[in-house]
Amino acid sequence: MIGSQIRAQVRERAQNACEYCHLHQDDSPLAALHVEHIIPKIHGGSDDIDNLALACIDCNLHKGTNLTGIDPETNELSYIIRGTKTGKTISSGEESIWQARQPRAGLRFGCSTLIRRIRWRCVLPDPESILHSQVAQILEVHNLLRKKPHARGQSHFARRRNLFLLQPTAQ
Amino acid sequence: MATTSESLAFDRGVRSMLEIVLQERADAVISFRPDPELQARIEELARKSTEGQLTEDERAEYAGYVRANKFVAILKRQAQQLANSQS
Repeated sequence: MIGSQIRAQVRERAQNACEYCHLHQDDSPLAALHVEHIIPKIHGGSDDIDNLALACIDCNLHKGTNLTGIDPETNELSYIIRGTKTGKTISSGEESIWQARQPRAGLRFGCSTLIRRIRWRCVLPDPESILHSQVAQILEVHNLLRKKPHARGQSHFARRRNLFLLQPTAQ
Repeated sequence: MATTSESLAFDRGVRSMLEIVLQERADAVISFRPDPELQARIEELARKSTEGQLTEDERAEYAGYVRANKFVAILKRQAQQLANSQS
């Protein structure tokens, strides 16, 4: 359970705007922007403020649960998105067509922050499909968010530890 | 997300109609507030979406609210612009 104080801190950090697409709360009249887990709790994500993001319902819906899941037993990113060519979710146990590779070795990236570049392998039969496009957009938004300067002029890199960037890779 | 272009195009597409509809009603639209039950339901769906607990029906319902949210946002923005132009 995320405490009200943490929620308020996330909202303040985000300046009351979605941290993925920057939609302001004023432009979301039906729904309050939602404090969500970047790494979902079902994949072992914590309630730490660095694992939380303020999100509009549009981004929340499109991101879903399976973008940055980490297997808590192996500490590996795996089976980020399961889907068919049409983007429908398929049940556990069937062949997954989106998979995550092992993170490469950690890289030092400015300051003292450890950046882990995580490569993704697309084995989707049709790379031009809607699903491919959606995932590519999500990865781009995710990386922009992680790299954007902090509101008070402080670098995101200087403020956060163990950042991870997502990279789609060729088949 | 491609929602910005989509929203701007939608905005442009409905602007003329909304100017007709919103005459005399702009203040009511600007001051509109959703009912708490609806907000709570959307919050619940958002939480379930993050945790992968949405059923197909709930996902469809959530997508409907996302579309409605965009529509109401555009309606309010148009009403605000109309009110500004009249003041």
